[in-house]
Amino acid sequence: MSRVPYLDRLGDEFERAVTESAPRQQRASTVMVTAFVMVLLVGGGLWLLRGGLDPDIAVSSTTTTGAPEDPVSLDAPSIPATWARVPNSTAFGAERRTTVGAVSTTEFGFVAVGTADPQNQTDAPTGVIIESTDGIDWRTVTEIDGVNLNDVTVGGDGVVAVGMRDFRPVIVDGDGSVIDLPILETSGERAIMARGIAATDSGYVIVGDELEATDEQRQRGAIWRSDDGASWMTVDSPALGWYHEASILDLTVDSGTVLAVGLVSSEPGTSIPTVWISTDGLVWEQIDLPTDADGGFTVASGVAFGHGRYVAVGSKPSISGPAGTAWVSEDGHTWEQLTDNALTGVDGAATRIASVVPVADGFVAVGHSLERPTSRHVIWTADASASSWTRLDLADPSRDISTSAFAITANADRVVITGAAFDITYSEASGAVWVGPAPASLEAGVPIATAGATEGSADGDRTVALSIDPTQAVEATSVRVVGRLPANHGLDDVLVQITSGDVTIDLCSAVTQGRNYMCRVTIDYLEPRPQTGTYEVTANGVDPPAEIATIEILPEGTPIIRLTGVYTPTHGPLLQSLSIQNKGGQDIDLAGWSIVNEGRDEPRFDFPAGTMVAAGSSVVLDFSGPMGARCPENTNQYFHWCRVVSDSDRVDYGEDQMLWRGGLIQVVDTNGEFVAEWRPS
Amino acid sequence: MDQLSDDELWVAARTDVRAFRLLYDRWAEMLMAYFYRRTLDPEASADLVAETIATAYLRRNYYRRRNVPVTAWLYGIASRELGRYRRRRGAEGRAMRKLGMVRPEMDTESMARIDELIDLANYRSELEAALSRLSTMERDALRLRVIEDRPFVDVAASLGCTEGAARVRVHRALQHLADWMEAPS
Repeated sequence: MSRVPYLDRLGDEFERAVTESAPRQQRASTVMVTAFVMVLLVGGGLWLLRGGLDPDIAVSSTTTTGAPEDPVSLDAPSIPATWARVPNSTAFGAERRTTVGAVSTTEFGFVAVGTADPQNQTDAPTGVIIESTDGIDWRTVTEIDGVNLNDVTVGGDGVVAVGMRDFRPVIVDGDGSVIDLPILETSGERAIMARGIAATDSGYVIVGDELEATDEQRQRGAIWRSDDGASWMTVDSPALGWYHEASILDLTVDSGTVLAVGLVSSEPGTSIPTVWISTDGLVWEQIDLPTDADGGFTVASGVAFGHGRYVAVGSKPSISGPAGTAWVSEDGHTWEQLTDNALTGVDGAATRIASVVPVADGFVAVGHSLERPTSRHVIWTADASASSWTRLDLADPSRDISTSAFAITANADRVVITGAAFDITYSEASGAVWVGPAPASLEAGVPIATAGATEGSADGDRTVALSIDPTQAVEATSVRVVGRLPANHGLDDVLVQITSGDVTIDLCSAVTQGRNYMCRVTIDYLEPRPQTGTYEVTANGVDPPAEIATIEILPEGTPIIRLTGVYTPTHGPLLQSLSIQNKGGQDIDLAGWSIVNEGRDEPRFDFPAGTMVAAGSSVVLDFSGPMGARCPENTNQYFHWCRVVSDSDRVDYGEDQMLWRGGLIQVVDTNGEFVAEWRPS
Repeated sequence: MDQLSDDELWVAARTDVRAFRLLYDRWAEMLMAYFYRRTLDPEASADLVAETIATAYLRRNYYRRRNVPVTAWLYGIASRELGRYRRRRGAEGRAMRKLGMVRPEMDTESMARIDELIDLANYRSELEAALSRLSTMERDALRLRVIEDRPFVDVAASLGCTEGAARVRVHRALQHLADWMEAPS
């Protein structure tokens, strides 16, 4: 009995809650046990982001958490049949340029880390720790200025993240406290990065690398070990020798064995995928992974343990660029490289596989397919033997044109993938999260815009209120504006704008047909990007302003196309390529559709029969390519807008005849109806 | 079971809620005193005790000895909860919700007993010593705002400063008091 009656009542209430919720607690402890298991099964991780946000050179991995004392069995969901992109959240950088590079399970759900790049590219980055109970709603736990965060785990003392500050390795706890890790040598120009962390049954192990920037650059793997998460030592092992390049990227723990993966490179342009293995975190053995590549850069980026075997994933060189690859081992010493063709990108595009996690009936790996000029996150699944893989081609009806997946984890209920979405149009990256199985609330998507009532009389000016909430949307919304002009207006087009306070944004440019005009726009492709709010829609170009007859949110199934051009302004109006992305939820047959300049006269590019664009996918219209006597052949994904100059047998991409005139360019459907447009900024 | 040490009880508590209840009975007053000394708010302390216990229960499988007694681990949780409370001006309650706990109402008898837990006589002398270290301006601002419950606009008028300056003085005074009295009991 306590001297404080309240405390007795609280104790009774605690006992009641635990007893009455026993089935729920059984579930909760299953989740927790899963978290413990995951540290055995999945490695610590990182995301390695070299050279800015270019997904082509980003590799990453993940970790999960806990440290079991009792034998437990794997309890994770089966391979999800459905996936969904989580609505953008300010927690992971909707406006913050944050990429979410690692994710881990906790007893409450999930924790992830990322790094926010400053807008001006000169200030120091900011490390961000975020958490979620369900993988869908995220909130910021802490932000730490000047720190890159690469990986996170959960041990006995809570969240522990690792990264780098001022070129020195650090760990960060959930309260934002930063602790410097010890380093062996302090002299000379050197950058030391902590890239992955895992909790073991006797403490923690962190992996990373040390770069010495001498005239002859050299690098070696780095490992730290701690018994309690507070006192750390640097491991000095013969297995951590100097190379031209060497990096330990990820690790996993199983029954006391710590297994890490990465690469070593003795000379530029080639590397050997490598495993480091230890039973105590102090004495390490280095093992070369087999590779079927003849030279080139092969790297093991992620590793996990499940179903009685280690599975490592990474990339190897191929004709079209890096290709995904995987290795399997039952003891951590003897490895087999898989030759599964499914471990490639869409249509054989270059691919990097970053991270892998075991689930109840197999494995799930993530990475990205490098599709010019964009990348797309890709998910691969395998059965428990990990010998046969399947690629899932996912639609991503988000507003982002380029997505990359860096890390994956799973608890008993859900698989969570983190990464980044890169919007070429706005030159911005932000965090991105996908979950599987997809909750029903996310499967249908959320309309971005809703049209309000028309105000004004039929004889006079009208305005329409348009409510826009781009931050919560996972699906683009197509809007059609129809209006009428005064007699004898003499206009070729009308500019439709939305205005809220001091903010005015061009909505679309409507081509007139007699006294009528109509334009259509996809609400996720406006500049500047509209903030959440209600806007007044007006149509300008004539005095008095044109009448707006209706503004309509087009029904589900309406084709939603985003055009994105890539060009070099300094070289004149030479469009290099145009990406035509299907942002809607249904496949689109582009046969008979055309790309036209403003005014819609010749020249125009007509898509050939059989040109299907799956939901979320893109095709690319190239305006550049090899010179010669003929245009390159089209594929299912790449088309070439070029023609042979008849009197010279020379291919012209627009230098002479200006296929693209440097202004507005549009997609029109088989009826000549406007679908989408793009204009260089 | 009463004869078992905390660490032995902790092992049993992983599967036996009665063992955890015994640990709770041993810890509850310590935790209440810990939080009350630092918040001077019995309701907030009650919230924090409940959340700490719920968190410890949910995290019981994470504790491993590593030469650290379980009470030290428990105070680690308590310290983090206190930090979150200070940042958010309220207990989080997440672990309680997860367990389905409803915090009982605080009663006047318990409030009186909680005062006794922290040896108010001794605490009062500590408080007086800490107050004496404040500047006159800070002490006056604290008295007007905290003891007399005057709005900041009145505090500012009394002190002959702006409202913003009054807020800063009260904030700093509270921070100083918290820092000087932070030493564990």
